Amino acid sequence: MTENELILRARQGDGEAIRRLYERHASQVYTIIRRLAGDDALAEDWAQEAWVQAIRALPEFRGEAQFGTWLYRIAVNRALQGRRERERRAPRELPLPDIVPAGRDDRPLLRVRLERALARLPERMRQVLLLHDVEGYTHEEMGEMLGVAPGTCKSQLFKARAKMRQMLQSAQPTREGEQVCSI
Amino acid sequence: MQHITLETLARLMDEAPSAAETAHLAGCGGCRAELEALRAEREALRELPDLPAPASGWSGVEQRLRAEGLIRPGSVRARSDSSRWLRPALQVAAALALFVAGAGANELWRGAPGETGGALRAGGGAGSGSGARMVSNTPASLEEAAREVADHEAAYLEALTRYAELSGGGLQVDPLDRLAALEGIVLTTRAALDRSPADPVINGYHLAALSQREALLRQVTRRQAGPANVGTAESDDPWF
Repeated sequence: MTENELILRARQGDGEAIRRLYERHASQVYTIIRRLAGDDALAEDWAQEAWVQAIRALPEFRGEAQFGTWLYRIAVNRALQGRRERERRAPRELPLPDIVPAGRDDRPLLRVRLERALARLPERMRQVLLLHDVEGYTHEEMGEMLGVAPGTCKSQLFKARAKMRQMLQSAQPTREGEQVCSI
Repeated sequence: MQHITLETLARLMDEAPSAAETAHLAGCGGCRAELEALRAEREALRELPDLPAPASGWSGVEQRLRAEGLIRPGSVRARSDSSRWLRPALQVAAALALFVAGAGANELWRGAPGETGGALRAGGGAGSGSGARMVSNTPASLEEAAREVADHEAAYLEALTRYAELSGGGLQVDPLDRLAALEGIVLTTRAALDRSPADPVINGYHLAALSQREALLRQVTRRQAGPANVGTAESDDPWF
């Protein structure tokens, strides 16, 4: 059954069609929410809510974008909304110290190190890095989602990349402390 | 020579360099290498695999949708529990083959002596000659059963290590491949624990894989890098 057929049936309340849509996209939805949330329990709750929102809004899905793209946007918005709600209720936590094992730049180790470094990025930096470099949103789109100017997103993105690089580098004198090259 | 800062290099991933920046990059291999590393890290980030959704994810969604009347009664086919578990169970079984083989090989790829397999041996200090301690009677309590598991695991690792030594290192496993396999086990058992959080077998595998993964990471760090890069994450500056 094609995805369009599943969507059509899902709109009519066909639970089996909804379940199949869920199975197709569950990992991707959970992944972006989990990386934005930084917490397993929150991610599970927010992912569930994102799915419910999406199914509720299914009659409004016009097929101008891919279903996955549309769903993904709902998931991202839910995670960002969740973070804003948490920030209003509780002081922002300091990120964990950067203790990321250095090592040879090989793929399996790099993946582990990347996930850890990502989890340790300050939240704003993590959001822009994930949304731009991983998910491909433009600065304008991110600005709209995050409620800030695109230029602010851009500068945070550059800081985020530099911070990731710093965390992943092997022990060498940090470049961050050096003066701006006089060019 | 004063180098281009990391933040500026990060900007150059998206924007064209100025004339002066171009001239500097042309003459500075270090800055060019950093720029390439930044690009490689971005690519690696994009290629990170998806995380498995919690095993209980669909049931929670289904419940909410039913409560809101968004699912017609009777329109979801009942699925047997085994079908939900078959794939993760097979993944665990397959990954365990590499995990167990690598546990013995880890002893040969020496880091801190005695550090690896610590979790498996911690149950009863049965690090050597444990075969004589294996209990042949049925355990009468949970504690006895746990001790027996630990004893059997330690004996198995000893036997595996002896086998590896006699076979001339035939069980050698690339530590980075093993690390990737351990990551797979951790993710799979974590998903399994969502469904059965109190299952002692799944908990055991999960904790053992976590312990092995951490020990292996420490070994890789010591063997392949200089001093660990320890930095302090600063608080994120406010947007404004």
